Amino acid sequence: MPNAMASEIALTGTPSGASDDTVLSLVNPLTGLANDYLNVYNEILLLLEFLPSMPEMTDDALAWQPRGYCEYFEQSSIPGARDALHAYDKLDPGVRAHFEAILARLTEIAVSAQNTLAEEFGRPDYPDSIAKSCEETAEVMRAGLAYVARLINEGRSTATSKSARRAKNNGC
Amino acid sequence: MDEMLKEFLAESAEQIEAASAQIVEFERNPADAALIASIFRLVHTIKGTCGFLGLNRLQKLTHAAESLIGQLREGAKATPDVVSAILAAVDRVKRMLAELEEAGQEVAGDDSDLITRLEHYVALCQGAVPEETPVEQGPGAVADAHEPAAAEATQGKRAETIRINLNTLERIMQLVSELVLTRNQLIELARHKDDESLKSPLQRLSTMTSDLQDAVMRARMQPVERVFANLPRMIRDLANDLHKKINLITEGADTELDRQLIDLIRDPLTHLVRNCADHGIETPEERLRVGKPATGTVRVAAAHEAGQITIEISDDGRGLNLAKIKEKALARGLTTPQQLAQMSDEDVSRFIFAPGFSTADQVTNVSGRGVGMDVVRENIQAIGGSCALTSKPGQGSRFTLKIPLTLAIAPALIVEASGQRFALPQHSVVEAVGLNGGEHKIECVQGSKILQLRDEVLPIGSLAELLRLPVPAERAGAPEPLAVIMRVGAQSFGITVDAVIDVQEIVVKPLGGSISHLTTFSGHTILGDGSVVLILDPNGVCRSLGLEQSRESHAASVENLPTAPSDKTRLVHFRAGSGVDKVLPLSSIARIETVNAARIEYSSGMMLMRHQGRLMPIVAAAPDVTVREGDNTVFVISPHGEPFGLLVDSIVDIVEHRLDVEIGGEAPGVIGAADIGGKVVELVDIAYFIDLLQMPQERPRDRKSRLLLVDDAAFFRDMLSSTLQAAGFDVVKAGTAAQALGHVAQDPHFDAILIDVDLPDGSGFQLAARLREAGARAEMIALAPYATRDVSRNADAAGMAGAVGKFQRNQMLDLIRACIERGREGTPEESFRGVAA
Amino acid sequence: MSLESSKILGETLHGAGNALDGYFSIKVGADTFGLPVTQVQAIFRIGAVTSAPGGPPDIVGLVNLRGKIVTAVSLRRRLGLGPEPGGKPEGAGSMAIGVEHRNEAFALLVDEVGDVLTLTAETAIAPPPHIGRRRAKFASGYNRIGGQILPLLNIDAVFDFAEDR
Repeated sequence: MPNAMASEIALTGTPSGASDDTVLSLVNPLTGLANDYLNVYNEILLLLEFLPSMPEMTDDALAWQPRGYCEYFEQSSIPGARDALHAYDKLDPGVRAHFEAILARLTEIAVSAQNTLAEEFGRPDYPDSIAKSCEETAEVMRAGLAYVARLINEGRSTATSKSARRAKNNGC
Repeated sequence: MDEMLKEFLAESAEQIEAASAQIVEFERNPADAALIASIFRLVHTIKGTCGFLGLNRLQKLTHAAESLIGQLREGAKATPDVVSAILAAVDRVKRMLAELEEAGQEVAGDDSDLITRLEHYVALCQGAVPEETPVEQGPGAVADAHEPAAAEATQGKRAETIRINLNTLERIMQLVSELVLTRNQLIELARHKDDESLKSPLQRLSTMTSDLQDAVMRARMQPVERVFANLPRMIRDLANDLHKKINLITEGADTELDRQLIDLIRDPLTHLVRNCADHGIETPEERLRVGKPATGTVRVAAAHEAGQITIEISDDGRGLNLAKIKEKALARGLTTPQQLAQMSDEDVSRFIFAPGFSTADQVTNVSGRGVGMDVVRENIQAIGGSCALTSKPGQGSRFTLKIPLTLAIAPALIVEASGQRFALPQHSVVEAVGLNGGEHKIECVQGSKILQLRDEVLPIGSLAELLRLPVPAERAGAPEPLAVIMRVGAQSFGITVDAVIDVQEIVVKPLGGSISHLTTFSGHTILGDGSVVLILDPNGVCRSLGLEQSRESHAASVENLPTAPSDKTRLVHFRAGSGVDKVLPLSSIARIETVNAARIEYSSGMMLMRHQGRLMPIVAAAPDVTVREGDNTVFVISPHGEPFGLLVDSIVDIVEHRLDVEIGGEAPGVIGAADIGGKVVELVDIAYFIDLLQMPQERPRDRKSRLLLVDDAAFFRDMLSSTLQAAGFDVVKAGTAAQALGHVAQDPHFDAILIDVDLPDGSGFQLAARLREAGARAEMIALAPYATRDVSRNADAAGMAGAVGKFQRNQMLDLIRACIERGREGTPEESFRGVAA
Repeated sequence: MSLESSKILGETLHGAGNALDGYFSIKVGADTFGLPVTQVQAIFRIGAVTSAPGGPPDIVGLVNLRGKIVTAVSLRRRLGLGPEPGGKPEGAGSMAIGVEHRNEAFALLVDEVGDVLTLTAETAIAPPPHIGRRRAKFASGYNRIGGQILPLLNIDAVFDFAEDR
């Protein structure tokens, strides 16, 4: 396909640094995790964000079900799903426990939001009554998802090295 | 979780230090928008993470601080008090973080003093802004629809709406348009990457974008009441001037329409209402004389209808004066007495849309120039709408306007001519027809090109010629293989192109001043692959084909067209039996076949032959026509998809002549006698033969075959299902692989399945396999814009019956029928595998 | 000249204050024109061009510049100069100057963009008598600099196609 735009901008071409293999496979070889899984939470996040102006999405929001990492990939028909499951089995148990603890918290937040929705749904001032709580829930979920995404894409080393660096700088 | 906590503590310590420094800096440079935005982001991030980690005390405090910083971000004054309050909060947060690190969990405490202080300043900042004024945004800021700032200031009072700066709304619209373009770009890239993991999120993105588009479009909607508002006054003035009594009723004033469109329909609407008052409603005396109440009624009603607004303007006046219209039409040379005689009342009434027809009587200076009905209709059509008229003499008339809901983003066909691509608004395209199959071809009649399509004779032209495109050397002389059939108002016509490349949603951008005078284009857009294409204006194309509105206003009826636009019909002059020669309009004959006697079979006293893979009955055009040895001439006639053959003796000629049936026929199978160039001939009555064949006979099947059609473009789904239904099939449509599987799950009994090779959630070939797993036993056919070697190879590999191009109607029907045959008889006859040539 | 360097150039000039007038020297054929830096939005090479059938012949076509549709106008054609002998035809890869005029975004195709010149009241001169009428309408003023006569490009005239219709 010819480069149709003015040549000051490079539209096509592979992103620098990414080898073709990592682009095609689901699992990040560095961490052994696949971020495709985050779609489970992205879905409820988006629904909550749209809800105040589109209350007709309430049913969808209430119908959302949390799914564990294994459950998600077992049900997925994407080619890399098998690989994701295998890689997960081989994860360091400590890493896995940490990962799952974060996911549990995300689920807790999402389910709590669903409960609020269910309560407020019948009331006359819906969806205005939940606008604020939807916004707050979304902010909190975003923070959590950002952390998980970093875990999946970069791994845990950043935290420890950062605090180690700080400790070094503070001379202790 | 404590690992996350540790990381959080490490990061937030740095962040909070940075925030502290930046706030002090901001106090010195309150105009630095980037700085306050950065401070806001820092605090916002900390707040979110605190919430996630369940650090409630910290979350509450940072939330209050964030609110106040938010006020500063929106332009509130950074007074020393405000800054001190924020700094105090920052210090408290720092302390709390340190305590947290030591204790390993949040230390209980009361921050209500600080929080109250922060909230106090927030209220002060907002209190300066009175309640109902529009929320002013800083330069470059996009209105945040989730932030009901007005609602916060009016505690307890619920804000059901927020007012938003018009510029902001425009900006949001722009962003949405850009989003649509970017989405198209992504889809284009994904198509070439063949990356499975992209398809599902991309599909989701696509849905979200469409929903967002809808939501934003809705924000631009305004009730048509704005247009209705000036009507009562206008009617009152007119009634006074004309000494009439008129009552105006408006309905559906709250029906909503896009802002842009409201402005565009204002003039046409006003003109039509004026028209009713002026010409429709009679004087009170006249009304009483004919038994009507003295006060006439003009009614304007607006309503929603899937994707459109319908606006009806009706009156209970005298209706159209058909006699007067006929007179005028004759006087202007728009028609002849003979043509008039054959026209229906509706056809006659369409004359008022002829250019200049109504201006003589009514120079209504709406927007400063004389406006006739032709301009009204043109204006409506220019925005993709339609205008229709019905009238009952003595009872009244009704104009019905149909207007699309939105303008700026529309689905379009991307066509190619002479190596260049153009976009064609989908609403004006009826279908596309392949010209290489042999069934349809362009014919030349008195210097004009026409296409005979089923029962219509359509004017047609080459897009490359119309636009005077230079022809690339390698294409010179090659005829264009595809005809795109369009409809503008009541006029159907065709343009020939080299290919239909794609069906895409495009963002319509207006032409720049330097080229806006070109009438064939209505705008331009950027496609998913970054290329710029011009958008064709259906009205402009229609005009450049040389079609004037006046001619179309009486030739318009699609269903009954006894005369071609040039008033003559192509007739087949033939002999059948010993009687007088016969004729049939060429347009009623699907094919002229030369059939060897050996091919004709007999069963239960009926003649049959194999035609396109099926058994087709043959009937003699006259009682004394019999099958001869050797070659016979059979006309294949296919009125509603079930073809039959008419056996004749020989063809004399194919002539072009006006068909005036003068004497009714008494013999069965004959409509009447006509005169062609001095010779008396009989017009054959096809209906008679159709009836004849309805008699109980052995039919190969007694139920309609059921097809599953899977294609993600609505355009193709509609076009192909129309074609298939016309050919006598029952069609179930699916837009995605998921829907197709759903249909099969409900009822796996299909006679054949047609699958677009390029679906959003997986390739067509994969779907074929999945459908088989799901229980579908039918043969499958791959559909692609063109059945290239690659496509047919892949179809073979996937175990499908073959591949066919979406515009190859005949080949598609042949292949489907062959699959069905095989399915029933269980034995493969002729080999139909591979490319349908 | 790549966009990067032109951007940097632009910033330096604006930073230098308003006392000096910076003009780009634009070359097309054997002619050079001056164009105020302040009127130039961008300098770039165009990508693929979509022609506008039926449009004014001086309009080469439409170009996609970062998602915006820009009308590409050939200065060569506007001036009545023939195509560059032996040179490549105007189209993808041609040098263009981004200018906005009456709410329309244009890309003015030129052969080269040369050095930035400083022109002041001292360098301005009266219009030379021998300039043909056609060319004259595209010049909004004249300067003498370094011994050469430099016309200033009249943007309004360049993009006013109504006259030709």
